[in-house]
Amino acid sequence: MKMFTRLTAFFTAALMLLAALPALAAPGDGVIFRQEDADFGFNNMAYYDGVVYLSDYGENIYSWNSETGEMVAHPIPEELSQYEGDVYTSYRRLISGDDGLYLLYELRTNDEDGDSAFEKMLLYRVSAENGETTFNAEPIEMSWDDLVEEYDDYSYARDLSQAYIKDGKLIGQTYNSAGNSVVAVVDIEDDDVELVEAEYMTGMCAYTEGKVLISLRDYTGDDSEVSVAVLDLDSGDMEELAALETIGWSSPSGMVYDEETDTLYYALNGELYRAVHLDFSAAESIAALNVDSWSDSPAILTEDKYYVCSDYQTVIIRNTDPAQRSDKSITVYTGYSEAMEQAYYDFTAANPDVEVVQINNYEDITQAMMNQSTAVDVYVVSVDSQEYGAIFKRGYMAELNDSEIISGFVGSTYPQLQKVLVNDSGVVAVPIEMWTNCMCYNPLAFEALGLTEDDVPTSWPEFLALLQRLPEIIGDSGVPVVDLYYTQGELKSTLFYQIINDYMLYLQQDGVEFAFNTDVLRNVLTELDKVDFAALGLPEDYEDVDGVYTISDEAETGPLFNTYSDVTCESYAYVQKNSRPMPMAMEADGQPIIRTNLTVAFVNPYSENRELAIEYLECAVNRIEPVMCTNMCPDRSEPVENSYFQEALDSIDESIASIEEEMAKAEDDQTREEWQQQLDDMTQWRAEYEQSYRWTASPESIEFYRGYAQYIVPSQYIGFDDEASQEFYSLISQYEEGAIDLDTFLTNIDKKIRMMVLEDM
Amino acid sequence: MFERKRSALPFLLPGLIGLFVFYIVPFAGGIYYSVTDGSYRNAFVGLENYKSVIQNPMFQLGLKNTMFFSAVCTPIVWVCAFFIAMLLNRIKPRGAFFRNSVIMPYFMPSCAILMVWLVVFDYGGFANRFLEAVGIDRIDWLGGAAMRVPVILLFVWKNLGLAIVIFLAAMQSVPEPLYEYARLEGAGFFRQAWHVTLPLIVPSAFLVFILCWINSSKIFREVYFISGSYPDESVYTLQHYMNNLFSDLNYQKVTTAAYIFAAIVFVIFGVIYFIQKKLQKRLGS
Repeated sequence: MKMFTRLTAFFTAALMLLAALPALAAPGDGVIFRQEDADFGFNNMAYYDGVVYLSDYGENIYSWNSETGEMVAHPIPEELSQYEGDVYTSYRRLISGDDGLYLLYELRTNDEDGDSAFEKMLLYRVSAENGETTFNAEPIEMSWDDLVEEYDDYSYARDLSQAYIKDGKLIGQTYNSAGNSVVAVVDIEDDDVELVEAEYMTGMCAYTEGKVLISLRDYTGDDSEVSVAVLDLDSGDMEELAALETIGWSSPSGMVYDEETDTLYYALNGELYRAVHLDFSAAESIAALNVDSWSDSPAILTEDKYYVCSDYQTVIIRNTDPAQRSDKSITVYTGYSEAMEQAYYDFTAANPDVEVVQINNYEDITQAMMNQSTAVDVYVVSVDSQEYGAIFKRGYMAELNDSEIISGFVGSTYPQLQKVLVNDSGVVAVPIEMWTNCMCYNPLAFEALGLTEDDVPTSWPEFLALLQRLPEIIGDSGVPVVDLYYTQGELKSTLFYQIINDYMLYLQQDGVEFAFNTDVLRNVLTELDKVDFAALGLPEDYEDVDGVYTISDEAETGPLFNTYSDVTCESYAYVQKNSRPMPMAMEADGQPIIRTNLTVAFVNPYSENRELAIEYLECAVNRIEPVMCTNMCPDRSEPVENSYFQEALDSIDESIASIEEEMAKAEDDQTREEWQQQLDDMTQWRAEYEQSYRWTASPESIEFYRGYAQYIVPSQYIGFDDEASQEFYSLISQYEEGAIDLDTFLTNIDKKIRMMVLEDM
Repeated sequence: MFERKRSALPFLLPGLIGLFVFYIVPFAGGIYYSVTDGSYRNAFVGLENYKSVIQNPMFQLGLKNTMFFSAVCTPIVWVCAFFIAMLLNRIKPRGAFFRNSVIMPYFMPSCAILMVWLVVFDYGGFANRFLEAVGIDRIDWLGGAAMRVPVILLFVWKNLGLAIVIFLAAMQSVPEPLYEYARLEGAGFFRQAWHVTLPLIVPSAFLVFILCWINSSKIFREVYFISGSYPDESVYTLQHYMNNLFSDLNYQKVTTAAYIFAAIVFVIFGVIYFIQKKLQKRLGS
């Protein structure tokens, strides 16, 4: 009995221990650098003697302590940067070499006309041992032959990405004068450049002696296939190793070859793969990557086999032992959305045992839903896409009601947005981004022409009637109707498309018959035909544009209308006194419409990690920019401060102090007067800056935005799939070209629309 | 006898498994789709989808046009193929070149053929230039109801070869002395065809008829390439209906439409089978 009790206790303890062991993400996985948390701007990175080094833009290099996570700054001596008269250097990058680190600079000269020309490249060696760095002030000079672009009086040196130095040769990826991808081999000693052509190369890394491994993608061919090849730098011969299956336009990046184990590591579609002995058929995913690894820096494999890669804002490190990989993971399609990408950090901080695979390409969602695919847990799509139209209608989206954060946020958005976020089951999607635009009018130009606020059109018929009267109103005032680059045909075409787009939104309103051959549209298009675009002072074609520019010089107010402008609560839109949104209805006294493109995220209803996926979405909601939230939610009206405001104001104050100092030192009145003038200008600029740029969204700009945000309507898929759209736009172009008249156009479109409606009955 | 049947089973099994997995199971699975509402929850709706599809005007239009194409194309292909095969059968063995070349269009991809067809039937193309030359106004072959003409011609041109090959294969088995006897009795080409050839190749003739009917009910690609998802109503087929619903994730109605059409085709083939049996019996007696 005693034995039994002991055994029971032992097994119970063992079980409890097992339960207590978290399925941690692989040891060593982490973020080395994140721009958001750093006090320096990241340029690129390099590796030498077991240490990862980061570089800013010419002030410091930083060594990363892998044990403490600390960054140690190593100031770059000032003498490396030259500013002598018209000659100056421009810092390019930090490069790994087999005998140390190197700093690459470009030496340039300015001539009397202010034109800048490339002179030579300078390479400074940095000795780095035991975390100590010594900068060699004697540069190696390189003429950079065949790598210089020249344009009349201006020239610049082509950059090398994925660059490294081995056996006295600087090797990197660039392009030749024909624009083709090449590998540049710069012999540092002999100052000789050799370009080895590698058409369709997308990335490269060092391989065995005299060779590099390159990834290739023929964009003219099959979009689902990329390949990896060996390029012999001496002979220029290329040997394809394997073709890789990818999704969409993704290509391998961040390639690193480990000679010791004959293994290639590469990033592809959010994951890190390794191909042992370059056997790509047996390549396996070994870690998730939350950066694209598309920066100019070559990826790094440390001595203890950790993989380091970077994009332009983040440097991450990953354990490459698949046995230590976390057994819990979710896959998130970010759609390049900032909120979705940033949510990664909050989510992984809260769930260190969960691996997050971020992807930017996925198979067709409708197909995935049909197959009940669990491959992707969170999707991001545009509301006006066909796929969203189908899945929203059929409810192929997980319910999000249980999340207070999500349902609270969605419930706080404008009701017209909620129509595409909430279905019969409740909240099913979260708005991530919203981009709104509409036609604007210029109050200053209106005033100059003697027009008042009452003359601002509120419907398309009113607007077109005003356009018909405008030649008389404008007279010889010189006020242009629209921006200067419009020809007669282009303006008509632009207005035509805007009418059609607005009409599609009009069709989405409750109680409106889904038809094109209606009096409403016919009336607007008939009025458009009556506008005399030549009389509006627009050129017939581009050859006449010069003449228009002469007219525009007389117009100080700017054009009367802006055909396309952002509609946002942000201050920049409000402080421009010459542009105000002009929401218009399809018919007089109708409801004005402002079109918005809404991007939403939702959880795959078949997800095996639904709870985690919802939690990820919650993190994304918390990461939506405050201005975006203000745009989407009527009750969120707290002003948003400009995060750069204080920094910029301090900089202006420093300039003012410096000018005052110089003025105090001035020896004669004329110099003092000149400084005084500069001081006045700077003080005026300070006042202007303080007044206009304090807020990203000011109380006034938000209030102004609220005045017309009620008219914002998300653009939705109304049944024109790719083929139908093609037919639709084909009819539009036939009408525009005059091949068919308005009746035929509306009848034909209506016929197709009617078929679509009947099919769906 | 029973034992012999049992011993055949292992040989048949791979084929039967394939038939079961790739035909029976998907067929049954499709029935499940057709009685659900097509939403994520796939709620059971009984025969609601069948009712809805049958009453749908676009389904009715597609079905009508599909039947029209089958009813026009099948007899044309059948009659032309039969008589061309008769002629080719007469010029053997020298007619090998013609016998081989008639099948060529069948192997050509539709999109490649279509380019040629578009040139011919374009508003300024050969067809209209010919009409103008004989004093007839130009016709919009690729726009309105007239599009039926190029579609039918294209189908006939493409499918004639296969039908000829099947007829030719069947005609090889007709004993030559029968023709000689018929000729001695004074029978001409058409009498020989009607009284000698046709009665002896009835099963193949029905096979050609059924194949033509099936193929013509699938007329879609050609119209789709020219006019997209929503062509003129006169050339809108069942395939358009199903294709458009598919891209809208409306799988339940796609499968329902497919089953309704399959049922109609089964009925038609049942009638044809019945006629064939009757005819064979009568010819045999």
